[in-house]
Amino acid sequence: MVLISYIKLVYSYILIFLGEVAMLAGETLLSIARGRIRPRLVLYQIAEIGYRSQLVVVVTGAFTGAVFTAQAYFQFASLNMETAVGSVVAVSMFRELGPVLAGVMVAGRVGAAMSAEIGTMKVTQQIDALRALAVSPVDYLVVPRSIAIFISMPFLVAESVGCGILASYYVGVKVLNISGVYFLANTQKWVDSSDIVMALVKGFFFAGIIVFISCREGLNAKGGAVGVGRATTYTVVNCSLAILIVNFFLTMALNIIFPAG
Amino acid sequence: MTAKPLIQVKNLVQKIGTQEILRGLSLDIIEGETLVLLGKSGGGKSVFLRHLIGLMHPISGSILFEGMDVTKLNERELEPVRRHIGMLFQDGALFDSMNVFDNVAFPLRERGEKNQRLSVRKSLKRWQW
Repeated sequence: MVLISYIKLVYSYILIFLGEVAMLAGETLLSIARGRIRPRLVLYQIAEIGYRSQLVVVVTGAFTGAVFTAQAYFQFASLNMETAVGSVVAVSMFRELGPVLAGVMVAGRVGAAMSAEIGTMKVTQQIDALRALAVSPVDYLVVPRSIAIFISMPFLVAESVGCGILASYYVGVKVLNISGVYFLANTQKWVDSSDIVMALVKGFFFAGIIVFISCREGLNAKGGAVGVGRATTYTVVNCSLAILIVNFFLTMALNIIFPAG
Repeated sequence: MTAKPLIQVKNLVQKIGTQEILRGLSLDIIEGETLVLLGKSGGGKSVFLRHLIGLMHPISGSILFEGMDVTKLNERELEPVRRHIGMLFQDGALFDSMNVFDNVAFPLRERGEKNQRLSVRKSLKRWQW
């Protein structure tokens, strides 16, 4: 009995959560369609989200590419297939690792900041003050962040993938002595435009997940500093889980549109 | 002859949890009138003011502002009403990411008013800033 009521509780929480995120997304898109855009705030958010997230995304991409190359080399060397390392790493970086790792890192850096900022405004009545001044919190806070992250995220994913492949080349060719010509030839042979499109499409979806979950958690924060801390934690956890779950379904759907190989 | 009320509150009822905060509150506010609400802490003064600008919606009752029922309006429809009402929150609720000038200029900026700089300087000068 207790288990059933617990499952019901979790189920209703998930439904309410998804409903609120979808409603916020709908309201935001409606505001954008109505032209309720503040260009100055959008530019500021592009600098905050896009420009200032570059280091974390570049380092994550580069070291993932490097370690994946080393691990693949150790496995492939026993089969005399070292030259395939470049293509395996490149395709993996484009199709999975680049977008997912960039998404998770941006969720941790940007999502947490968004949630904390909006959450603090909520618990200190600044959101109510905005509403009292006839300014919609969605128009003022969510719309600029949404536009900025939708613009920035594909670039961040591209940077993550690019640095991963560069690091892979460096580790593979310079450190592990794989033939550079074969490394590049195999990479060029197996990577095509569909892989690039897949990375960018995933980046776009993950941008939506991050911004709408973060803003929803911030706008629902209550209970002072503890509430803001809780909202920030939920943001990072929920965004990371959502990215991993949605990534699976995106991979299945995009593989039908862009088959691998 | 009695002046027509600008704001008419009729049988306003609000509960938070099981606690009854507003129990059938009714009052009229005439244009130009200064009205003071007095009461103990937790008596529902702030809750009533939040209803007045549509930050909270009552369980029952109505608030007529220039003949329009504020309790029935959604966020977008409330915007023109809110432009006519000023509210100072208990804890200030200033935008802490902005300086004093930007806090004063914010509503003017949002309404796209010209000469914001001049208006803000005048306002600040009045308060000897």
